[in-house]
Amino acid sequence: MVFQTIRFALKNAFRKKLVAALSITGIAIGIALMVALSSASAGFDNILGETVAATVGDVEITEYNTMITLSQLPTNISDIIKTIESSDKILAVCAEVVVSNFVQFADNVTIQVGMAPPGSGMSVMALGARGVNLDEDALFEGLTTKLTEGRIFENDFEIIIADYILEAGSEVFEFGKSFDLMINYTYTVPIKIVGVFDTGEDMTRVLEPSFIMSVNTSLQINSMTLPFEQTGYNVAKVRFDSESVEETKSYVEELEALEPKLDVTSLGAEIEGMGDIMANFQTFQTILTVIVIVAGGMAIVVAQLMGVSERMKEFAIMKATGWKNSSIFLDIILESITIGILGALVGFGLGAGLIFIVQLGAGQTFVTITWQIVLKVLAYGLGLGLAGGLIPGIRAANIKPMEVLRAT
Amino acid sequence: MVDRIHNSEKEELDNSNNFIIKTYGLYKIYNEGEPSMVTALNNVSFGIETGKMIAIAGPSGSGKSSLLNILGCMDSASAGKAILDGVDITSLSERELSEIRKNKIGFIFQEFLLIPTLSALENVLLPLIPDGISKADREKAMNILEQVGLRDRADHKPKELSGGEKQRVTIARALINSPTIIFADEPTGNLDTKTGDEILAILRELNQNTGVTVVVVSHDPLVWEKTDLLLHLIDGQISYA
Ligand SMILES: Nc1ncnc2c1ncn2[C@@H]1O[C@H](COP(=O)(O)OP(=O)(O)OP(=O)(O)O)[C@@H](O)[C@H]1O
Ligand SMILES: [Mg+2]
Repeated sequence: MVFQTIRFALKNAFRKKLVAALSITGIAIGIALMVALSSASAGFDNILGETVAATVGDVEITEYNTMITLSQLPTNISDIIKTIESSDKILAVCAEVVVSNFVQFADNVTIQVGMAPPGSGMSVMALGARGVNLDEDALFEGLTTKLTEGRIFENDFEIIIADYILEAGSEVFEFGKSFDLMINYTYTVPIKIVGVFDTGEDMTRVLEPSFIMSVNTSLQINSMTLPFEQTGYNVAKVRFDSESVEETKSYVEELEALEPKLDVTSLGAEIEGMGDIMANFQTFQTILTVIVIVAGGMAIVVAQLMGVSERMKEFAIMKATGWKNSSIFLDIILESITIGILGALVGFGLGAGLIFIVQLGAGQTFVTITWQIVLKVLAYGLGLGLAGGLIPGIRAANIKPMEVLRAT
Repeated sequence: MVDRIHNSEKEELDNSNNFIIKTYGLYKIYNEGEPSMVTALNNVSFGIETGKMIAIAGPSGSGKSSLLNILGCMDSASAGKAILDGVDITSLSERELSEIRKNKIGFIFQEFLLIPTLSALENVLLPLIPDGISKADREKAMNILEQVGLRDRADHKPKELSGGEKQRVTIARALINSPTIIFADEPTGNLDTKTGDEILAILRELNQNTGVTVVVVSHDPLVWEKTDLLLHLIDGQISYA
């Protein structure tokens, strides 16, 4: 039934090709911006959500009120942790030594060894070093389980290095190499690179430690550079069998109640907290949405009003041949919806293209086009058409055929 | 060629079912109560027998179009009654009037008002669009186009048609709903004599072949001769010459 009216409306929507094209363009630009923003925020939400999900049960423990590099956890920290009431929920514990000053940007050695050549893309900040227990790290399926070359460290001063260091083309840190590494301008450490581990493909890979060694080695190195002899761990990672950030929080509380007093951080909660940044973004999106609706709606109203004024006689004749007011209104609304949806689809294409290009440049997928965004875009197109066609539709529907026909 | 109905014959009018149109004391007053007030129809009572072709004549401004518009359910009367096919159209809502326009009335104007984006065939089908168009409707439209001699112009857009052809399309459009009555307000006013004659011949033929009542406003004495009845309007009143 309504099919014929739709066909009729489609034919009429493009009577004024330039006007139709301009209003479609106007809507499309607004929608494109919206799509780009929505996708970016959806993508960010997604990454956030995935990370929260991946880390929901993970907590990090350091000495109470102490910087991580100076933090000293007892050697039996793993046993202490397992004394909490919910110990049955603990999936894994891994205590680690953070090796300070292993390789520093300002270090003459780093410069000499070409650790941070300009433009290598390697963040010096990230060149961390850790001492780990192999069996504990294995519980986390940590980096020591991801060797791609060589073997795991067995003797003191044997280390394994991250694949990204090799990829960056360091001349010093090569697989199989033994050399004296100078630390803090003063101490020389005879290291041997026995293996390479995989850090994955994500941009965040450089946040993984660059060097991993035995706890024993790391303690020896730290004791050289720190003003005290280090015997304990800097940090302990605990993985709980937890469904939610909320649940993890209750375990955090149990851990905080332990002696000695500990600083306990829930990674999931931290990351979730980043979501607050999104709130500002959302406000911006809302403002943009309002602008798109008002501007897009106006574009349709103006275009359609022009069309209606020009076509008064046609509406008169349609009414004279029995078209009801509602049928004429429907025709105008359908014409407007056509323009609105087309604008929305073109805008969606533009926005998606924009995102695609940006992603190509970044070499990373950080935005997501969800079907919700597609639905949203269609809904906006529909809404714009409805809103924009309202006034012109009422005008066209209410003309008095006789007055229009007499006016000539 | 004689007026069938006088005011005094109201009784007969009331009791007759033969009349497709009956009016009783019809008034049309524009801008009532204002200095620019015009009484376009002044107590008009008459009847039109079903199946006739009648002409309405009269000087410019005498109220011909006003009368046609009320009878064609396109405008409301200021006072009086108008019965169309047994229904008092002066008491109907806009929605009901549009139903009658759709189902019972064909309207033809002086201007050849067609939708430029639609072909001749689609223009003929225009009144049916809101309710949907069936295959049978399309065939019917083609047949009507054939009747008015435009079968081979069915796919032409209005800008590809001559004036006379356009007017024939509007006639076809007026016929698509098989109306019981056709109103034509100076249908030949924009055409040369020969083409105008052709248009009138078509209307006459329709009237005779299908029995549709035709009411045509015309200044042309040649037209008057071809009709069954001539109604003269002067200053909004029927004049019985
Ligand atoms: N909408 C209107 N408002 C005010 N006056 C009107 C209106 N429509 C018609 N009139 C007046 O009513 C009178 C009758 O008009 P109408 O159009 O019915 O005449 P007509 O007989 O059809 O004339 P013509 O032969 O020129 O078409 C005229 O004086 C006209 O000026
Ligand atoms: Mg007139």
